[in-house]
Amino acid sequence: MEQNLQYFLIPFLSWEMMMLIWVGVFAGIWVGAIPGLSVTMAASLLISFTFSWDLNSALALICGVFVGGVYGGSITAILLNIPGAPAAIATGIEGYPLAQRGEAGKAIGLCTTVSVFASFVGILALSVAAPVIANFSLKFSPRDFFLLAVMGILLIGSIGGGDPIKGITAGAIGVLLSMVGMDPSTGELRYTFGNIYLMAGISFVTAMIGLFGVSEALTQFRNAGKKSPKQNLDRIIPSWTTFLKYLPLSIRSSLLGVFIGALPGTGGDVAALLAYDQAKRTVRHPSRPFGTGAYEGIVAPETANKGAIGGAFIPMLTLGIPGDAVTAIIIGALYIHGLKPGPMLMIETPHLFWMIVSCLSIASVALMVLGLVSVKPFAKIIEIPKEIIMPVVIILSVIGTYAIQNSVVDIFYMIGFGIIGYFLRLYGYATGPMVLGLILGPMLDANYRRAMQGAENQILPFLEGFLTNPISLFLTLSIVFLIVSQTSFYRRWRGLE
Amino acid sequence: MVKNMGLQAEGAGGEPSGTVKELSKYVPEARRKPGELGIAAITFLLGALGYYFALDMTSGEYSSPSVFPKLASIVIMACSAFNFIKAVWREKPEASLTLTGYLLPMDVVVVLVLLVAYCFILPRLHFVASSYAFMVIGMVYLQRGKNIVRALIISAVSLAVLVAVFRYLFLVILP
Amino acid sequence: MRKLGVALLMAGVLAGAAFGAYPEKNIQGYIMWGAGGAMDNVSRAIVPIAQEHLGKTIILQNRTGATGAIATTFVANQPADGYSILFGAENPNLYKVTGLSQIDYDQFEPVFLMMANVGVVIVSKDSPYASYRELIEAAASGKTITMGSTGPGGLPYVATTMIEKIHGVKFNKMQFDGEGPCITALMGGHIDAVAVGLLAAANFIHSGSVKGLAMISSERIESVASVPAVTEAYEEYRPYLPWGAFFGAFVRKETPAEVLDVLRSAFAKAFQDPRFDEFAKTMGGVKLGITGEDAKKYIKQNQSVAAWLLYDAGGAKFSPADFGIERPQAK
Repeated sequence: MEQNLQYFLIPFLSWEMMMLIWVGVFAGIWVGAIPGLSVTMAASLLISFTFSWDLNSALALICGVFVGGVYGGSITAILLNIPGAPAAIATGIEGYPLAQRGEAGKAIGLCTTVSVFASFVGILALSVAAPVIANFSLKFSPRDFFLLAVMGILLIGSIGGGDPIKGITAGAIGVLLSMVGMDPSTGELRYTFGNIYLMAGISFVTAMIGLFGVSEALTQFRNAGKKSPKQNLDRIIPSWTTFLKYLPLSIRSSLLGVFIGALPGTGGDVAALLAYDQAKRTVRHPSRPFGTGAYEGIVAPETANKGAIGGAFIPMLTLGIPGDAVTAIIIGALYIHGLKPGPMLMIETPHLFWMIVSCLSIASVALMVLGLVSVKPFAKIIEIPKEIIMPVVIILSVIGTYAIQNSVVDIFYMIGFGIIGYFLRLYGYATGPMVLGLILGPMLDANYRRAMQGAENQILPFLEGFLTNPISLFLTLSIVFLIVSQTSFYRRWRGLE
Repeated sequence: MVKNMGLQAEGAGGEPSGTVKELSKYVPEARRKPGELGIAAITFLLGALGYYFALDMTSGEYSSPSVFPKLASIVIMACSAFNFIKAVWREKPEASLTLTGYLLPMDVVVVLVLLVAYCFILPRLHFVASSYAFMVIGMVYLQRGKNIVRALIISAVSLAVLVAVFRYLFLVILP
Repeated sequence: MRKLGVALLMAGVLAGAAFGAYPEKNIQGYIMWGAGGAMDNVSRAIVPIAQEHLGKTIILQNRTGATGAIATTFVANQPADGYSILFGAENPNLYKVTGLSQIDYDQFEPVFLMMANVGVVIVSKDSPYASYRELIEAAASGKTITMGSTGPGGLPYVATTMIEKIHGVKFNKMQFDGEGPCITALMGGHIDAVAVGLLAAANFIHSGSVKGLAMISSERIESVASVPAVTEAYEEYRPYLPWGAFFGAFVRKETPAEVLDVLRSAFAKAFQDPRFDEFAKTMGGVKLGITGEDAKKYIKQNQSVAAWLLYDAGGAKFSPADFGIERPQAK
């Protein structure tokens, strides 16, 4: 125990590491805020960059970027309705209307506060319950991942923009588009028509930038005369009462985030979407109706994607299995530095575990300070007249898209999605479900097929699995509940309407 | 709260036909929009094509790669048919509202033309020149020819920041 | 665009011939697999050392998609001046037979093959199968064994096909999108066994979270000496061996010889660097370190085994014979 405390204190005793964490968080906020630049990219760049450093410093920097980057994605979602990363999509649903009301400062302030809280929940879970959670997460079979994806798809009802059938149409188009390319598990080419660029598939980040960013810009030009909203920046830090009011929701969502983050292959994006959905269904008296700027709709996804950071480290540090793309890169970095990520890591190099815990804690504190300091300059961005900001946003979207895989073709895709998104919006088809379909399509498809293969392609054993396996049964029942809870009968009974 | 209400009303009033801004609060209207039938037909066609091309994929087992593409296509077709019928039931669009007038106000047309032109010149003039041109022309047009110097400066500064971040920090080789 | 390419090529050749100054500017490196994978790790481990000898930076980027066909096609369309390096694995060997792409290593010159990856059959730590023979006999007796697999061309797929063909058994296959997810599913008890690359599995074998039943090679591997070679149980594997994945650096075939020499010597020096040694040891892979004709022969052997296995198993669209790929000969 004393030993662990000593390990925990390593970063506190080194000026260099302290500074690197702060620099990392600061850089991460910007990286996350720029659409197309992702934490994954930043982390993989840092690996090459820090090759000759000692491992502690490299890890300090990467932890900082990780925490800052997940947070930064939400800033652009709130300000411009362009999520900097998929994990921030849900935040934009409520955050953007708030910014349009002149409450961007308040929204970002709240987002910062609960983010820091959730980040600590994640770290706590990592330090006290890592082995338990990790072993439990292994029990999730392909069938359960399929059920999780189905839960995510049900979110279309929440973000479909009023007309559920149009939402489903857009969602199904997203799923269909996600099938384009080479099927990662069989190598079969679907909808590629012999074109090498289609074989790589349609990156959902590309689609996301187009459908949110460019289509938003185009929609803005329809009402050219309208002034950008004046921002009220008097009180950005939420009061204690506000914080306490959202505390139960924060705890619930961050725990959900920790868990989803710990599942191998799912990360902050799925966690945030599920948490948003969960909040929308269970919060009785939201500050405003959901979809028009409910604070609960910011708290839930933000706490979930921050909780997922600690969560992602759980399987990585205990089992050597990455919880998400960023931890996969960190595993690579450990190899390069001569360490063996995997079950032996905790035994051979226990200092690493506690050092990461402590780096993440310092990063969370840094996030609080740096986040709140930058609220005002960030919020000022939307006061810039849109005649000036929108062309810049379009160019930002272009360069961000290109940076994902250095492909000019992706720029054309992105602009194409922007134009399609613009037309769809005019007819009441929200773009959110389409992005949702693109993100969850591959997860649905691959896991359904794996589950089917596990049941040797027999319908009955396949269905039986949903009822006999305890995890699957729990998830199946939750889905049934989610569907029932959408009916007006249930909502009236619970007093939600 | 009163202020918020005002903002909302403004958002709704700024549009010729309903709220485009508050997309999250789409309210079905009595009249259908021009082209609404068209878009339902297009999505239906997309679903049909999706199904048609899925026929070429490996099938035969419940876990075949063609299962989900087919399923998604069927959902698209079914929903599109529903959307189409629902739109037919509603009243015809106002006569004053033409399809192009609704879809493509002048500003949007200009930006779309600029975007297409941008795609065309990007591989030839490279990123910096074409982006600078796009931003300057876009800003000057949208401000109706005012503040040309400001547009030139703002475009240059923002481009410089973008290039610095992407090219020198992230080592992205710009197109 | 093409003119520009030719001009650049000429300029590159002239500069190289006249001044012998390659590299004059930074070099682009394209990794065909995503960040965090074995290909990525190997590339990012050798490049920082190699560039110390080159005097210029190699800027690495992951250009993923279509099992590497995107990166391969891209580099094949860059000028052959040595400023675009492809960091590739064995996958292009199967592009022609699967009909994925017509561009494979025939259009490239290997700069250096850094590491090889040997297949290993693993089961979970609580598995009832204590030896490879028991696993095969259970499958032969008609018991359903669910094997993890990947898309055609991936190491697990080819290895599983090889096992099925040699023993005349049929596994129930669950397909994943990589070796990592296969191991995760194995540890969670969702599949019974899987054949993956040693690089992905070594640490899990060392820690005891999975059991290694057999190396798909003709002799034991030093880093996991407790795992028997498959030939110890079944001699029938010999004609197919040596077979495995490899990780190398490639440039276009038309690249001038002087440029190639500079690159080769830089990579060879990096390969001998103790820092790379240490990396190879932690990863648990087999150091390869071959270049030139040896490397080409190695690639051809790999292609012949994998392409014919795939074709015989019905996983290939075209016959390897159409592309002049010879059937592996018994030794």
